[in-house]
Amino acid sequence: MTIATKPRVQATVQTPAQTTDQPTDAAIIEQVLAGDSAPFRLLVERYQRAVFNASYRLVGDHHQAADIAQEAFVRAYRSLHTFRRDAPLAPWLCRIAINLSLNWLKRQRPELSLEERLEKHALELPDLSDEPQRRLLQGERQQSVREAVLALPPDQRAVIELRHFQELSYQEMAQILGISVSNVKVRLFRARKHLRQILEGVGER
Amino acid sequence: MNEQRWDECSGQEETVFLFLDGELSPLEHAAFAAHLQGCPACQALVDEWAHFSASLATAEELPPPPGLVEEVMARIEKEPVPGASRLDELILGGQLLVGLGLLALFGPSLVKGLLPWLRTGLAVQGQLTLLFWQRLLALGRGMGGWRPLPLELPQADWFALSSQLGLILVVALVLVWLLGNAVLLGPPSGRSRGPFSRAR
Repeated sequence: MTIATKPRVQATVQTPAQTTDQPTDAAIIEQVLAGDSAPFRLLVERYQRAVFNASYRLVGDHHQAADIAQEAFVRAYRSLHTFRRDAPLAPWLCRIAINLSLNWLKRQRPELSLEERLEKHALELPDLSDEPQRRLLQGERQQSVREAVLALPPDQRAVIELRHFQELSYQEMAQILGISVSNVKVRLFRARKHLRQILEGVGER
Repeated sequence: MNEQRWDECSGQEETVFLFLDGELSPLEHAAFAAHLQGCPACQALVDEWAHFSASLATAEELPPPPGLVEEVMARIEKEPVPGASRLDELILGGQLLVGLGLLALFGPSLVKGLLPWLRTGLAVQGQLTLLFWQRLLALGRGMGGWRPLPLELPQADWFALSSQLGLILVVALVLVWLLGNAVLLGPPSGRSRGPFSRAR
């Protein structure tokens, strides 16, 4: 058995390496709180990719994700004085974007059917019927997996994002989603099964 | 997906997820780890979903839109300094309230306290004017030389009046500072901060 009991998958929101000639996040925050907003640009440049993708994985729309990312940074700026300096900044920023994305999803029209979602996201997966787990590891499958996640219903997409991309615990997920831990378990279980169903179903087309 | 495996160890799939997510209790974790040693089906499940997690985490990311940084900065330029606006607004609001309260409390006393001074001042002014004209008339009639004329100052408790005037001046200055700061300066923005605003 070579599998770790709690796989800490590589996070997509890791703090970029800060070289000695670049100010740390904490130093930038100090400057901004002292009245100089210009250094905030560095934070936006550092984390725009993580924040944008966290939103995109939920809303599945490039323009909407861009708007949400922009709003997330502005809200983060407004609340910068409440941020705990000893905590990493990226998860905090992503969480703001995720909350905005979840609110946006709630305001959207009723959920599409699985077929409609597959069509919307143009999910085209190669045949997975032989050895799906082996094929999932292949580099060219990454984009298809992302699209499969987008084909999930929003509530299931949210738990996949929070668990697999933000690496939050069930308790943290429950707080963000405003549901119980038991519901998180159920929703995550269904989301994973659904994801497998989507991948297999498309593979059989 | 090999459906055979799922059937062999039905009911464990949810446990596999909890195990991989680190959400089992220590006892449950140990029990399931022991179970895994003798259960190829569950081992395969763990392998499969762990690899799936890894593939999700390395999923391709899109590049952010090119204008995002500029758009964010353009909006932030119009924003007040984080945390400052709210606190300073509270301070200024408090100043306004305190100022108005002081005005309501001491306003009538101020007016009342000034009346004796006004009366005294007018009386002294009258006496001095009279003295001036008397001196001028005396000069006009060729009655040169210094001749003191009686100056009748009004009866007053000068010490009490001076104390009262000092108090009035202090209260007036405080009122001008409080109300002036609150009304004229308004809430500070990130670019222009009033002289009375909280220095950082």
